[in-house]
Amino acid sequence: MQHLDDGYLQSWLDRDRSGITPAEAEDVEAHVARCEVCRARLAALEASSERARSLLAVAAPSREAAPDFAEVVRRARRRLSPGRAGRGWVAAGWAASLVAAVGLGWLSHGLLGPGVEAPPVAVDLPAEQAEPDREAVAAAEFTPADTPAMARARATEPGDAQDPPADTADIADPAPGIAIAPTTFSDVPAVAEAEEARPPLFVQGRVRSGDGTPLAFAQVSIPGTGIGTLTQADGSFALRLPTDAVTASVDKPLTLSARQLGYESETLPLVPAGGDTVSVDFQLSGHALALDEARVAGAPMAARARTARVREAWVPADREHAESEAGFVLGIVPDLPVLEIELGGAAGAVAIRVRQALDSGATLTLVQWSADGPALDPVLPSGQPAATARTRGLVIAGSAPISPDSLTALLARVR
Amino acid sequence: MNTDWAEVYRSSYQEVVRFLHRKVWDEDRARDLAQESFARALESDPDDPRAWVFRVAANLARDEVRLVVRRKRHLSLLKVEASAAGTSAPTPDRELEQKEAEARVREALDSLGERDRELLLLWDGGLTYDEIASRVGLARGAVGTTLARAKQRLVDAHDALEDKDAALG
Repeated sequence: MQHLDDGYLQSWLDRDRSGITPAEAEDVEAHVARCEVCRARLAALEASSERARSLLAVAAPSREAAPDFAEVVRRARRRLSPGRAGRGWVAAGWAASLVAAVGLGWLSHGLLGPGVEAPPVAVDLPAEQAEPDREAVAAAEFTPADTPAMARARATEPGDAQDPPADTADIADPAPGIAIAPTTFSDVPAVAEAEEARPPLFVQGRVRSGDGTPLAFAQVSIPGTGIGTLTQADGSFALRLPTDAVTASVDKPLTLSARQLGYESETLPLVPAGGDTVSVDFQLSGHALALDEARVAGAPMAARARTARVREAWVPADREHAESEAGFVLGIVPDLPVLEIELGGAAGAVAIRVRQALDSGATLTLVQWSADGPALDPVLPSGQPAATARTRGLVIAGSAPISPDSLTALLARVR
Repeated sequence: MNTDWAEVYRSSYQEVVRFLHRKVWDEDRARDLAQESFARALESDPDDPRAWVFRVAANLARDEVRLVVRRKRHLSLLKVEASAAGTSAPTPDRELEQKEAEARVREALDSLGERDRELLLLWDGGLTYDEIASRVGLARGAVGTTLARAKQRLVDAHDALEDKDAALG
């Protein structure tokens, strides 16, 4: 008999958060029930999990109550005070959203409805791509600050030398477009500079479409490092790769990827050529499905709002509250127990997510929103059949680990 | 655009403090950095707020640890002077035991590879496999296997240290 590997067993032990599907979990259970070797292995893994957990608990701090959330908001405000981040439009946007959010108890923007300004998209990179600290934030502001780092990058400028003339002809002055994250570690002692044996690496280049048009607001990032930025109006970008990342890249080669709505993402190797600056140019081919939408919009932000992605930040709600926030009566499959009702939203529209238990013990997830409002991408659990239905002015997207036909039949029963 | 940060804060604060404590090994600093992590996270509206906070926390802890390492070089001299002068307060036995136990766990954790350590701390912080995978740069399918191995390594490293301490009496 083929035995289960440790990873699979471990996923089963952590089944509430490992993403193992109910069907896979059942497989594990059935196998372990009849296989003594795997049963013993599972017990050993469970024991080492317990040991590890208790060891880590030894090193845990005492559970003091969390300070009031208002304290966090105050801190965030201090960070936004003039002189720190008060120069760019991004900062202004944050400040506005902070004020709005503080006044209303920091409720989520989507739930507040269309009256509340959303923060700018510039800081809205996917989690795996953006570095949520000062460096990236500074980069996202597009401030062409003339820092020493900037001066160094300019001094070399290999990117411009290699650019085909035809492509750069329409760009009047590429230099001001390059934004390099200023290194403002004011709280790090001056020794820091002297101790950095390996200099940081600067990465710069341009992102263009297949026909050579510069792509603005494309996301450029170094996967696995949390370093990323957005391109300028002329498609140019510049990133600073800190010392430790440069050192680490000796063991694990780095790549650079560029993504833009409506285009195929591209990932290229990041190969330091000896100097302190690397040039990487991207040419993204249009994505067959989304190309028209992205082109028509002109501004990527507008295109983005067209099919807003429901964010994975759902708020548990009781049915009455959910329905009054959403403005529609929740659709459910009659006779199936309701496990959970949650509110979420995007682009000013409110969606309700409801989970219902199927007879098999599996879960049916339904995300629904008003068909009159903006189209939403419901972000359903991946790896299982999904389907969409319309009933009484609602769009209902459903997903469950059952056959597509059964799922469609279930959705047809939603009332 | 719909992150309920107050809720994220309420539900994740303790885990973030715990996570930071294993990195900076100072309760007060861990609490302060946890607050700072949330304050910085408020400025964004990420797809996965909890994973985002851990990410900010990890970055802050990394900067902090570097800073501490630099300061230590200066402080080690002062510390020798202080203990020579007998200014350190007497420590009760139980507290001493707790300190030793903590030091062993710390040493065991430090003996692991960077990725194993990060993986364990994120797992202990309650993150999902998807969140862990994106933080440490693994495929989700590899998280279970790597985790199982890392846990065993931690337990083994700790037990070896315990045996060594026992042998030394």
